[in-house]
Amino acid sequence: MRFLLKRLGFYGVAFLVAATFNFMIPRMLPGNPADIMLANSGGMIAPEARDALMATFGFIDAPLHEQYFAYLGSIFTWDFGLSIKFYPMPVADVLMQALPWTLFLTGSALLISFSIGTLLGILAAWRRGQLTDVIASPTALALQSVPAVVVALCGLYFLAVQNRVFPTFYAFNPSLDPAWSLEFISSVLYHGFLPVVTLSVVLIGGYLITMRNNMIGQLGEDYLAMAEAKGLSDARVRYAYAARNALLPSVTALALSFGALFGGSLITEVVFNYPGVGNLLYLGIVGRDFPLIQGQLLIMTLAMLLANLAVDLAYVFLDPRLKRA
Amino acid sequence: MSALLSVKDLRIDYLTSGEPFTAVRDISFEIQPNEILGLAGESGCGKSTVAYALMRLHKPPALVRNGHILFEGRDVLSFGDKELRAWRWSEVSMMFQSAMNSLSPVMTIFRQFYDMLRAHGTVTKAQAQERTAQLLEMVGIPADRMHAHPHQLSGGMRQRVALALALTLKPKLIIMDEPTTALDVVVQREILQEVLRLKDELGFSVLFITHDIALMAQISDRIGIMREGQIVEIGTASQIVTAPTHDYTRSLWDAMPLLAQRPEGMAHAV
Amino acid sequence: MSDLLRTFLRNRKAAIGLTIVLIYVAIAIFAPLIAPFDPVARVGRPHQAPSAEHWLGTTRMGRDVFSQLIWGTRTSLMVGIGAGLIVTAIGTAIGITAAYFGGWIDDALNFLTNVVLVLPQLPLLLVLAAFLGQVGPWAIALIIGLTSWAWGARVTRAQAMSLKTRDFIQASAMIGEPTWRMILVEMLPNLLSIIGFNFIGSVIFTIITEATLEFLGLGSPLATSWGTMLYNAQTASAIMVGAWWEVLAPCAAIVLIGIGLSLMNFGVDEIANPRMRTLGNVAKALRIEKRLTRQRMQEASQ
Repeated sequence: MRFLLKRLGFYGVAFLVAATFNFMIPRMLPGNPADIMLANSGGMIAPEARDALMATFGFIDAPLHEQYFAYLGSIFTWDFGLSIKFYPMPVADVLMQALPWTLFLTGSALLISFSIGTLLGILAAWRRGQLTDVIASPTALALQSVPAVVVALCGLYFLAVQNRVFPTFYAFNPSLDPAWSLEFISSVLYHGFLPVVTLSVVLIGGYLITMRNNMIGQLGEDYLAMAEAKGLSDARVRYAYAARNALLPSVTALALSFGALFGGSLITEVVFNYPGVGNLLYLGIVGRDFPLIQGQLLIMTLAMLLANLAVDLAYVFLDPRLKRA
Repeated sequence: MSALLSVKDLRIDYLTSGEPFTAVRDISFEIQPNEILGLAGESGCGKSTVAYALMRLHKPPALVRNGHILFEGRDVLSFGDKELRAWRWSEVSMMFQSAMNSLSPVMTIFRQFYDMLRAHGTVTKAQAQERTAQLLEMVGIPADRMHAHPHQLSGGMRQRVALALALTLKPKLIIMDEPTTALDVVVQREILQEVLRLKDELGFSVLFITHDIALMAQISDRIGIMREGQIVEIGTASQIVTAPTHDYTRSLWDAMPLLAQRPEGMAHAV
Repeated sequence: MSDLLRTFLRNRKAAIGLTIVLIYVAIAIFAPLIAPFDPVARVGRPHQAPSAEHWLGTTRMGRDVFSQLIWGTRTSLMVGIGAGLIVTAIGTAIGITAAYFGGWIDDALNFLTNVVLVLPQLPLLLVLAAFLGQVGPWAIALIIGLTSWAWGARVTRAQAMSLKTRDFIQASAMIGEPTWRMILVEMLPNLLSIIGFNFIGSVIFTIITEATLEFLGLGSPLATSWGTMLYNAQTASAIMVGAWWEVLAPCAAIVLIGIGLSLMNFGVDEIANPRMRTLGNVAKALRIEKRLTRQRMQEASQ
C-alpha cells in the first residue's frame, strides 16, 4: 500500500499548508491582529473575549516559531478557540453541530448527481449522435454554465417563494425535537429537498460530460470489439466492459470535483439558510467571528482531504493494476 | 465440397462530411473448410475492414452497402440480433492484433471465459472453471493463471489466452487480424506453430490477415492480395509466391530484400 | 494561424458562441451610450416591476436595473477576462515548465499544483477576503487569478508532456536549440488549442466566482457588477417580496455569457479532437445500416 501511504503523507502536508495559512493571515496585517479584529468587530466582541481571542491565534508572548507550534498544537487537540458570535461556545462545538447537515447535503447531492450523471453519460456516449445524446449533452453543457448561485436563487424563487411548495429555510421544522421518528425524518427530507436538488443540478452536468468523454475514449479499443465478437449482449459490453474501464478516469475526475462540491454546498446553504458549516462561514464573515472563520476553513479542508482519501481507496479497489501491495 | 464462407460482391462505405469513401469495393472470395486463407495488402487497403465486417463488428461511420456474406449458406448480414449473438464465437471467432488491448484490463482471465460461456448456454461456475483450465492447458498455460489479470501475463502468454478464448466454442472459422505483429519473432513462430497444430487436431479454417507477406506465404494454403479495396489476385500459396500474375503482387515481392535466391515452394515452411 | 481561425468560425457552435460573446463585449464598450440612466442614481420608485420606462424594473433603492445590467457588464467582463488571463498565464507557464524540464522541477511544481487542487477554494477565498475587508473588483480579479490556476496547469502539463516525446522536439533539442526558443517557438504553437480551451474555461469560472464572492458581500458596494446586483437584491430580500426582476436580470446575464463561452469551447474541442467531429456521420451510418439489415432480414425470410 505504498501508494496510499504516499497519499496520506501528501494530505498531511496539505492540511499543514491550510493551518499555516490560517496562522499567517492575521499576522500579515499591520498592527496587533487581535486589536484589528476587535476594531473590525464594531463593538461585537466584549473586552473579556479579547484574551480568549488572543489565545486562539496563539498570541502568547513568545517568538514566532513558538507561537506557530502552539497554534498547531491547539489544532491537533481540536481546540479552535472560542467563537465570538456564539460566545462563550467553543468553535469546535459550534462547527460540530452544523457539520452533520453539511454532510447530509453534500453526501446526498453527490450520490444523486454522480450516479445519474454517470449513467446518462454512459448512454449518451453509447448512443452518440442519436436522440439521447443530442438532448443530454447540450443540456449538461448548458447546466455547467449556470453558477450555483443562480440555480439556488431560481429554485428558491420558483418553488419556495412564488409557489410555496417548499420551505425557505432551516433543516427541519423548528417546532420539532430531533429524534429518530418518522415525523422528524420526513421534516428533514422536506426541508432538505430543495437544497439537495439544487446542488445535484449544479453538479450533474460535469459528471455526465466526464463519463461521456471517457466512454467515447474507450470506443475504438479492441477489447470492446472482442467482447461484442464473443456474442455478449449490448448491455453487458456497455456496462461490464466499456463503462467499467471508463469509470477509472471518471473516479479521478470525481476527486477533482470536490472543490465544486463544497463550494456549491456553501452557496446553497447560504441561499436556503440551511444550518451547515458553509452557512456558518458566511455568518462568521458577516459577524467578524474570526476564530469561527478559521476553524471552518480547517474543517472544510479536512473534509476535502478525507473525501480525496476515500477516492484513492476506491481507485485502488477498482484498478487491479494498482493492487500490487 | 461447398465453401464454408462465401463472400459475394461485398461493398463497405465510410460516411464522411463529403462523399462516402468506399473502403471495400465489391469483393468476392471463398474459404473452404480446414483451409488457411491469407489476405495480404498494405495499410489502408481494406483488409481489416473486411475482417470486422465478416462478424458484423464494423462500427459507424462504416456500413455494409451491398453484398452477401454466406456462412454455410446463410447470409450473416440478414441475421437478427439474437441470431447474430448466438452465431458469434460459436461458429466464427476472432483474434486481434494486440492481446493486451483485446482483453479487458480490469477482469481476470477466467471472467473473460466465463461470461462468454454463459452467453452461449448455461454453465455453472465450476463447469466454467474446468473448461477454462482445459483450454489454457491446451495452449500451454498453467491453469492457475486464470485468476490473474491480463497485465500480469507476458505478451506471448496473453496471445495464447486469446487463442484459447477463440477456440472455446469450437468454431469452424477463426479470423486472425495481424495476430503476431505486436510480438517478437520467436514468440510469433511459437504462436503460429500452436495454431497449425490445433488446426490439425480440432479442424477449423483460418482467415489470416497481415501485411507481412513472407509470414503469410509460410502458413497459408491460399493467398489473396488486396489493394485499395479490391482483391487484385487470389490463388494457391505456391502460385502467388512463385508465379504471380498481377503487377501489384509482383511489385510486393520485388519490394522484399533478398538474402539469397528465393527457393521454390515456400508454403508450409514451418 | 489564420486558417485555424477559419476552421474555428466554420464550426457552427463556435460561431454562435463567439457571436454571443462579441455582443457582450460590444455592450461593455458602448455602455455609456446604451444605458438610459445612471446606474447608481435614484430614478424611480422602489421595486417597480418592468415597464416601458424601466425595461427591467427598479431596485429597492429606486435604481434602474437595466442600466445597472449594462454597466455591470463592463465590470464583470473586465474582471472575468482579466482574472482569466492571470489564471491562464500562470497555469500555462507552470504546466509547460514542469513538462519541459522534468526531474525535480516537475516534482516540485506537481506537488504545488496538487496541494492547491486539494484545498477547498471557495472557503479559502472567503477567509482571505474576510481579512482583507471589502475589496474592489480588481482585487477580486487578482485573488481569484492567484488561486485558480491549478487545473489549467495540470492539463497543460499533460499535453506538453505528450508533445515533448514527439520527434520534432527531440530533433530540435539535438541540434542545440536554446531553451527559450524551444518553448516559445516549437512547443507553444502546438499547445494553442489547449491554452485556448483553458482560457475560455477560466473566464467562465472567474466570472462565476467573482459574482459568487460579491453575492456573499465581499465586493465593494461602490462597484456595479452582476455580482453586486445579486448582493443588493439579496440584502433587499428581493425574492421574498417578489421583485424577481432584480435577481433574474443578473442571473440571465451570467448564464447567457456562460453558454456563449461554453459553445466556443465546444467548438475548440471538436476541432482539436477529431473523434468528436464525426458524430453526425455516425448516427447517419447507423440509421442506414439498420434499414438495410431490416431489408435483408425480410428477403431472407422469403
